[in-house]
Amino acid sequence: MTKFAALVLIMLASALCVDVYALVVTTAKEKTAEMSKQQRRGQLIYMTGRSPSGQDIQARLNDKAGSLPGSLMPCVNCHQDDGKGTTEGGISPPDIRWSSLTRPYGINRKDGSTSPAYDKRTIKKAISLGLGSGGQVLNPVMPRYQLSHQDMDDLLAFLTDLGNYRVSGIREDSIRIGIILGGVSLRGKSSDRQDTAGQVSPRSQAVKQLLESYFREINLQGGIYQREIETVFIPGPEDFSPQSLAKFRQTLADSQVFAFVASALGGIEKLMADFSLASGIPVIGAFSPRPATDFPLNPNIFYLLSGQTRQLSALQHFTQGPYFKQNPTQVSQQQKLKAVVFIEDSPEYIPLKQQFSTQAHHIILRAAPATADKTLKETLTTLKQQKYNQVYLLTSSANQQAFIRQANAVNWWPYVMLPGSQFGNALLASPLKFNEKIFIALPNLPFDYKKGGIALFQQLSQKYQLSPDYQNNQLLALAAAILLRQGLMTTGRELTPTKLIANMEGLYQFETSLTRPISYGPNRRLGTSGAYVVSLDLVNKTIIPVSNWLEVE
Amino acid sequence: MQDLLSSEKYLSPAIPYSMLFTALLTTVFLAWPPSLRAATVPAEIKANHLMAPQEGKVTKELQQQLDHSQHLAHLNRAAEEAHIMGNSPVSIPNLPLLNELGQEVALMEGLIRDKIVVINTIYTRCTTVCPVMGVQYTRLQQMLKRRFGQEKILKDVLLLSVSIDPVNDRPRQLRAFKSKFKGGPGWTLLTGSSANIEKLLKATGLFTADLQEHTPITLVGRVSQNTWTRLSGIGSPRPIAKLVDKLINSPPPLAATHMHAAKEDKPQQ
Repeated sequence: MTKFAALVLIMLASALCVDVYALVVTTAKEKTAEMSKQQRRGQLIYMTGRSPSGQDIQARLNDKAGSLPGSLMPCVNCHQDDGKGTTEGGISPPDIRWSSLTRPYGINRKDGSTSPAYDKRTIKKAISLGLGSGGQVLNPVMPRYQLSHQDMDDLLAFLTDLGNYRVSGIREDSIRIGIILGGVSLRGKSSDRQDTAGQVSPRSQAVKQLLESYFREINLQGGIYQREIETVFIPGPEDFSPQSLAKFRQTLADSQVFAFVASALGGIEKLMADFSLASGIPVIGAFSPRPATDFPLNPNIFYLLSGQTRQLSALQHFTQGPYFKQNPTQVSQQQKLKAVVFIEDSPEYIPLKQQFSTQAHHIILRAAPATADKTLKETLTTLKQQKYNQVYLLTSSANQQAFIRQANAVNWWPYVMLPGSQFGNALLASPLKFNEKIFIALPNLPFDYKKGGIALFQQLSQKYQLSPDYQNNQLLALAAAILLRQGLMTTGRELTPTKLIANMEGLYQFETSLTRPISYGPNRRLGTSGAYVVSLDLVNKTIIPVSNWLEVE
Repeated sequence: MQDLLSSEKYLSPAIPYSMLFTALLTTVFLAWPPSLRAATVPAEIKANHLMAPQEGKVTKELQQQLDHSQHLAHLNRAAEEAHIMGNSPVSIPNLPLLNELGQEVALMEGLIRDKIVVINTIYTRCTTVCPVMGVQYTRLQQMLKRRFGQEKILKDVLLLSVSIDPVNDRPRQLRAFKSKFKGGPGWTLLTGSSANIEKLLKATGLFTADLQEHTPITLVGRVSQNTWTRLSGIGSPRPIAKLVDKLINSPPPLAATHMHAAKEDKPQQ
């Protein structure tokens, strides 16, 4: 009898064990849930309060007052991206992970009352009417949302798995990192045009090789907390047509990376800002001539260098500085600088107009230079007669060259001020009369490269036979990768995008050895904010630094 | 009324204390003995009313004025007591601060001196309660505008949002915060040096050491009366509008209620 009982016990135990095992397996399976397409749409609503279908989402705070756009108060504001919620100002949002909401024994509230477990029907009521599962009125801070049935279904699909999603791009033994390579430039850079669609330019190829080798080197040394870095290279959109952009966005979503690094965002800043907000995927070390760092800040995108707005500010600052005063020979006949601003009529340059006072003399140039040649000549002659002697040239490089050529033709050699993002080598071939008269603001200079950084680059370069060209691009990409490594290292093994972003924000005067020290902060997404000013030595075909680092606030 | 209005000035902390003290003493002296009071009060009323009150008869108006002057005396006495006891009522220092347009403003002289002031504390990175407080302000603005018209509101009422994160909230951020909620004129956001902001927060009792723990409170009051009421900073702006209404309709310093300690309305949780 006892033997039988023991047998039964053993059988029971094993049966239980199997059950427990099965349970473990199922939860483990749920833990690795990938998001379905519907869930991704739901995530977008959760993170941004906007509908992927473009329909209206409204929120109201109390019934009597009118409604507000849902984007003012998306779910994530209080419930956080993991649904656990954050306490702020004495308001503690409840844990809304599906597993917590649907506990069979219901929900014990802080005031001692309990309410039954939620189901899909009652959660809809909570979102749209602000009523809890027991019919009680929820905290007035919880907005009541009005959304379409489709959006509600999408959101619900996302919510019912909230808490089970795997952090995008993180596996037990790997971290997936995406790199967006520079797309095809549409701005008439004829030298870059030979690369056809689908092929990456030699510059991107060089950057790709460098990053691959750097991350391989990290992996060889044990990876980051026992995780190897896996790289995904994504070519930029072929052009800026809506179809290509949509396709590109789909590629981004499918890439399932943890973060992007060293990514060229020129022209796609807005798209990336939207994408990173909706998906929560950060971009560390982004490059763009026009970094989108306006307030309200996109917290997920960390730019490395300042863009043309700040470069222009540095130029203006430089103009008022001692350089022109100390070198009386520089200013002919001791006269004061009289500036004129040339702005190209394109969305890239027009916003720069705000940097100048309204009294400044503006001339708007059309984007196509060839047609404007004759009128340009007349304009320049007039300007020469009016004794203008300084020109801010905010145009694409084709227009820059046209200007230099025409100005030379009418024997007018003013000081030419250029933000550096448009600096092309073609300018070094300008007429000698412009020697040391062309000033360019650059966000970084070779003397920012410190010994350590150069040594690392040379090691990689020798070991992996990297391309000898595009060194500047390679070095900056390397700086971005070093930055990401630092972020990952300080975050530790429990990686989430939120933690990584918090740690990146904490960086102060971080030395990449390849750039000026990098600082970020709660309101700062530009690693270095400012520029150097150099002038062009047309005789020796080189640049001469004429200023110290000019920090721009 | 002119006389009464001018006496209000003596309550302002911007006037040196010695002056305040003598003023208090005279008022108290005038107000205390009944014979003297009877002798002085009608003179005051004459200045304010077209019809002189009949001698020997205490009209309703006169009684009101008497009550008011008693109140005034009471108010002054209490202020005096507070001064003696060393626990001054909420006294807002005249600090140099920055508004959302980047202009330097003197808090007391430039902003809130003669106005009904609504104060809350925000920081622009806060996502949970601050948007709700922002919405409350926009709603309040609309509500007041409907009730009193834009001009009167601009003249008499000022909404203040003080950033409790002055290091990160520069005018640019504050401007963006305001425009996010479509705030109109009459709503000023303040930042400044950490020290000054801390002084202001401590003076108004809104200070919290931890940003995350900052409580959603809206403080409503008038400097000249030194009556401050704490209301919930989240939820409907209606109670605030009601209080502003009440203050607008009770010219200083003879407000309907002379409360010294800030009246606590527990914020709804």
